[in-house]
Parts: sequence; C-alpha cells; structure tokens
Amino acid sequence: MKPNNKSSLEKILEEITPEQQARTDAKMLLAARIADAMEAKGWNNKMLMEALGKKNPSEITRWLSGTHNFTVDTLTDLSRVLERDFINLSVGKEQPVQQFNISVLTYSGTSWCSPSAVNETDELSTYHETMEQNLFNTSEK
Amino acid sequence: MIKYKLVKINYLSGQKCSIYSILDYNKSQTFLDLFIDENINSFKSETIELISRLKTIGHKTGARLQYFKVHEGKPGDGVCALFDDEESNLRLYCIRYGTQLIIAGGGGHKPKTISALQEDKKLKGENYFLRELSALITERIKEKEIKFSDDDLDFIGNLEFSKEEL
Repeated sequence: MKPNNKSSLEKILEEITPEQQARTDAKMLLAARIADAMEAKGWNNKMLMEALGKKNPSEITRWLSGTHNFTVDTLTDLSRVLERDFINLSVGKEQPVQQFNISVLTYSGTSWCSPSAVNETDELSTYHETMEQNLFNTSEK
Repeated sequence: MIKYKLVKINYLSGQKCSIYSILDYNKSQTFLDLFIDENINSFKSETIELISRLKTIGHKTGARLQYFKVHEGKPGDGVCALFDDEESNLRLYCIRYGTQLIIAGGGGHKPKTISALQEDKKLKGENYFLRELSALITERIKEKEIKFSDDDLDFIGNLEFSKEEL
C-alpha cells in the first residue's frame, strides 16, 4: 500500500454509492436465487433454456452471472417455469400475531394461589374448566 | 528475495468470502490496486462495477461459480475471470478456491477484435502470472506450507513468494 495515502481501492470504494452497491447486491442475490431454484429442480442451463423456449445458452449464463438487469417479463417467466416467486407482489403488510401471557389469581376457598403463566389455548381451556369447577364447588359450600 | 505476498483485502472481505490480492513489494501496491489504476480512466464505470461485485461476493453471496467466467487457465487451477457488465469487456483475473476464498489478480480490457486472451500481450501476462501462482500455491498446500483456516476463509502459512519462484 502507499504509505500515508489512500489506496486506489479505498478511493474507488468511496465513489460507490449505497444505491449502486444495493443494485449490485440485488442483481447478484437474484442470480443466486435463480441458480438455487434450478438446482432444486435438478435443472442445468440447457433445461432452463428449453423450458423458456430460448435458443441461446449464453443468455442463461449471463442471467446467472449476476450482471443482468432483469425485466418484469423475464422474471415472470422464470417464476412460472421454476415455480418460485421472483417478484413479490403481495399487497399490504401482514399484521404480526400478538402473544399474551395470562396470569390468574384464584381463591380456593381457604387461600389465594398464583398459577404459573398460561399461554397455550388448550392449557387455557383446561385451566378455565378447573377454575370454574373450583368456583362452583366453593359456592356450593 | 521476497517479491510478492498474498494479502487479505479487508475492505472487500466479509463473512461469506475473503478477497485476497497479491502485494508487489517493488511497486508497494497490490495487483488489484494496479488494476484499478490502469483502468479507472478509460473504463471507470466498468471498474467500479467489478469492485462493487467483489464487495457483494465478500459480504452477501460468496464466490459462487456462476459469477465467474471459468476455463481461463489450465484445467483445475481455479484461474477464472469475474464476469463484468454485459456491454463491457474488462477482464479481472482471479484464482477461486471454492465459494469462500478468491485471489484477485490483474487483468485489462479485452478488445472485441480478439477471441483468445493469448492474442493480447497484457492479458496474457496477467493471466499466466496467476496460472504460475496457482501452481505454486497448490505445491505449497501439498507440502503443508500453506493451509486453510478452519472456516476456510483464510490462508495460513508461508504466503510470500520470491522472484525466482514466479
């Protein structure tokens, strides 16, 4: 390295904007996903080419090189033949499922007790049934 | 006399792949820096694209075979070229060791008028240097002078090479 100076690599890295890097990342990650989908189906480049009705094998090589800027049409075709969603068109955000931990203090007739937290539906139903029975028995007395 | 040393490029290396280059002691620069200096004026966007791709390989994807133009060296020596932009013909020669380790060497612009790299003196020089380096590294691996780290992300051992060897 040149002492006390930025290397040529450092200078060029400073020129790469986050947007440029993100575009490169996206192209290469998408190419990797396509290759993984091909592998899952046991397909080589020629088989993908034939499934898409293409005639030029170098086109597939280019797609997988991570340099290609795919069109929506091509991604739609790839999604169809490889049975993977390369274009996520889901509408709206999914709502996260909320989880509650419920603790109930009960009175057995002679003392209060604090059962451990209950968060499973089945456990909760059984727990309610038991508590109702206890309460019924208490009121009977 | 020691002339070259394999050095890890921390700016590009990540958890997916380590990017090494060759430090030329006489020029006090790595082959990758020299490649940038040689091409940044005539092929600026292409050079930036190649460096950006190396960063993605290091941090996001690893050195998957699909990203490289293979059969650029002798059979099995791992010498390849990083695919550049579709419209570009800038060659950056590398030696690839699986998906987790590559050595970035030099390269240059391949004119559309030639088909074989041997037709261009500069490309041939850069490519054949990596072929010789790859053979030397393979020899040192056999002799256990060079090993891979447990996570396969690093070379360990004697990474210096003399002028007589290369």
